Amino acid sequence: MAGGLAYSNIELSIRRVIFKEIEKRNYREKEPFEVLISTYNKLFDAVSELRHEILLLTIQNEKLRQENLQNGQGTLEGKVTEKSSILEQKIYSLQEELTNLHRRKGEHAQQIVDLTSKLQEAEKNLNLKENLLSEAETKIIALKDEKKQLEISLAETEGGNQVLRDEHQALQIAYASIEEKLKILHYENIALVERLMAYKAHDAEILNKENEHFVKIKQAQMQKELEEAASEVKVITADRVLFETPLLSSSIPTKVHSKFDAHEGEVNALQFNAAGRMLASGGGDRKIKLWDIGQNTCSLRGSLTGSNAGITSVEFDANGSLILAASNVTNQRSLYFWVLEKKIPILCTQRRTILGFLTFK
Amino acid sequence: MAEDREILREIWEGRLPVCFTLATEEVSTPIAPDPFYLMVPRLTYFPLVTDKVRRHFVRCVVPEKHDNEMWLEFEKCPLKWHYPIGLLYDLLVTNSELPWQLTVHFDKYPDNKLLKCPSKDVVESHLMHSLKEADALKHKNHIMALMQERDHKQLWLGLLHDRFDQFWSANRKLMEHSAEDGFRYIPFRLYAPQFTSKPFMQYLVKSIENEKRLTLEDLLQRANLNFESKGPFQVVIHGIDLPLETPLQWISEHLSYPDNFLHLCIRYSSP
Repeated sequence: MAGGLAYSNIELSIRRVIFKEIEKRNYREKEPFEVLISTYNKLFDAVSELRHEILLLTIQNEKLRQENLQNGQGTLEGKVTEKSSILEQKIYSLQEELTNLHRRKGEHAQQIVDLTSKLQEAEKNLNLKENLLSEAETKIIALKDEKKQLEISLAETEGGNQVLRDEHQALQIAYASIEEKLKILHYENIALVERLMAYKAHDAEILNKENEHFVKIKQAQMQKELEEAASEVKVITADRVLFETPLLSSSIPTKVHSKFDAHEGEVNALQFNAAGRMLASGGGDRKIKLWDIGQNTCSLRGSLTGSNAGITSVEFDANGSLILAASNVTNQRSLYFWVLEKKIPILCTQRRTILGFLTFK
Repeated sequence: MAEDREILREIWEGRLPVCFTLATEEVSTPIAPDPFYLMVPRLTYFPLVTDKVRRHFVRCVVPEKHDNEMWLEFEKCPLKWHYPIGLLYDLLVTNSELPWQLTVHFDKYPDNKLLKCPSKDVVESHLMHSLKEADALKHKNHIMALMQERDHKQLWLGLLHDRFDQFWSANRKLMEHSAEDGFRYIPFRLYAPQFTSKPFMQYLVKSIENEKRLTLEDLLQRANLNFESKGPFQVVIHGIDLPLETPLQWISEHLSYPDNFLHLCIRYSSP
C-alpha cells in the first residue's frame, strides 16, 4: 500500500510537471492565435457573406437600372404616355397578327372546302367503279351459267350424234348386206333366166322334133292311105276330113283363159284347191291372194297377210280350209299356216333352207 | 479521477493555428486566393477538418481538377493524413514557428509517399484498425471484440465532431485495467530523426515488470539506441516535453492519442 502511495506521490509530481508543460504549450501555441483566428474566421465568413450580398445587390441594381432605362428618364406623365404608346404599339402588332391569322384561317377554310369537294368526287368515282364491278360480276356469273348449259347441251348433242352415227353405221352395214344379197339374187336371176331360156329352147326343139316326127308320121300315114286310096278307089266326102283335124288342136291350149294383175312384183306360187274353184297365189309382195275362178272371169276373194318375206310356195289341204305357205329371205325362212276362216297366219317354223315346194300329207 | 479528466480535457483541447495557402503554380485566377487560417485540434486528422479549406481554394483551381483529392505539404514534405495533426507538427516543425504554414495542392498527388484518402470512411477504418492493434497489445484484443458496433461508432463520431464526452465514454473501457497489473504491453510508436529506413520504431514493453513500474526511460533503453550520443534530446508528445521518469502506465492512460497509441517523438535541441 505504501509503495502504491509513493508511486502516486511521484505520479502527482509528474502530473504537476506535465500540466505545467501543457499550460506552457497552450500559452505558446494556442492562446495567442485562438482569438485572432476565431475573429479572422468570423470576419472571413462575414466577408464572404457580404460579397454574396454585394453580388445580389449589383444584380438587382443592374436590373433596376435597365428598367429605369426602359422607362426613360422622365416624369410620371412621360412614363404613362410612353407606356401607352408601347401598349398601342403592342396592340397594333397584335392586331396585325390577328389579321394575319384571319387571313390564314380563310385560306385554310378554302383549302378545306376544296379538299372536301375532291373527296366527294373521289367517293363518287369509287361508287361508280364499285357498281361497274358488281355488274361485271353478275355478268360473269350469268355467262358461267350459260357456259354450263351449253356444255350440257353439247354433251347431249354429242351423245345424240354418237347414237346417230352408230345407227348410221348399223344401217350402212345392213345396206351393204342387202346390196350383196341383191347382187347374189341378181346373179341367180340371170342364171335362172339363162337356164330357163335354155330349157325353153330345149323344149322348143323337142317340140319341133316331135312335131316334125308327128308330121312325118302323118305324111307317111297319109302317103300310105293315099297309096291305099289310090289303090282302092273310094268315094270320100269332104266333111269327114274336116271333123278329124280339130282333135289334134284341142290338146294344146292356144289362147289365154283370163288375165289379171295379181301381185306387185313377181308371182312365185300358184295352187288350185281340190274343187278346182279357187286359186291361191303367193308373191314377192309377201301376200297370198285367193281367187274365185268363174266361167270367164277371176275375182279376188281375199288376201292373206302376215308373212315378213316373199312367199315362195302355197298349198291347200284336202278340205280346202287350211293354207300352207312358205317364205324365204336370205337369213329367215318360215312356214305359215292360215286357217281360211280366221285369216290369221300361224308361224310354224323357221328354217335356214329355202323351201321350194310344199304338200300336205 | 477528477485530475485525470482535467489532463485528458487539456490534451483534448490542444489546438494548433494553421495557415493554409494554395500552391502558387496551381492558382488559375488572376488574383491569388487569401490564405486560410484555422485552429485545428491536435488529436484529429487533417481530412476531418479541411472541408472548409477545400471549399475555399477549389474555386481558384482549373475546373478539371475540381474533383481531385486535396493534399497538404509542409516545406516540400507531403503530410501523411493518417498521422494525427499534433504528431505531424511535433515531428516536422523544429523551430516551433506559428502559425503553421501549409501549402494546399490539388494536382500531382504523391502516390508513392501518401496513401489515398478518397473519403472519411477510409479514416474511420484506419482509426478502427489502430484501436484494434492497441487493444491487442493492451488486452489481447478482448475489449474491442466485446465492444458493440455502436461503441465503435461512438468513438469515431466523438473524434469526428470533436466531442470529448462522447469519445471518452467509450474510450474509458479501452483504458480499463486491474489496479495492480496495468496493461500487458504499452502501445506506442517511437519517432526519431535517425530512423531513415522506416518511419518509426515499435517493440514490446510491459507496463510493470518484476513488480516495478516501468518509466519512459526504461522504454528508451530497450530501443538499444544510444539516444544521448547525439546530444541532449527531449521526448515530445502533444507538444510537451515529457519527463523521463514518468511511469509508462500513466502516460499510456492519459497521453495516448485517440487511436490509443503513444506517438513519442525524439527531438534534439537545435544547435
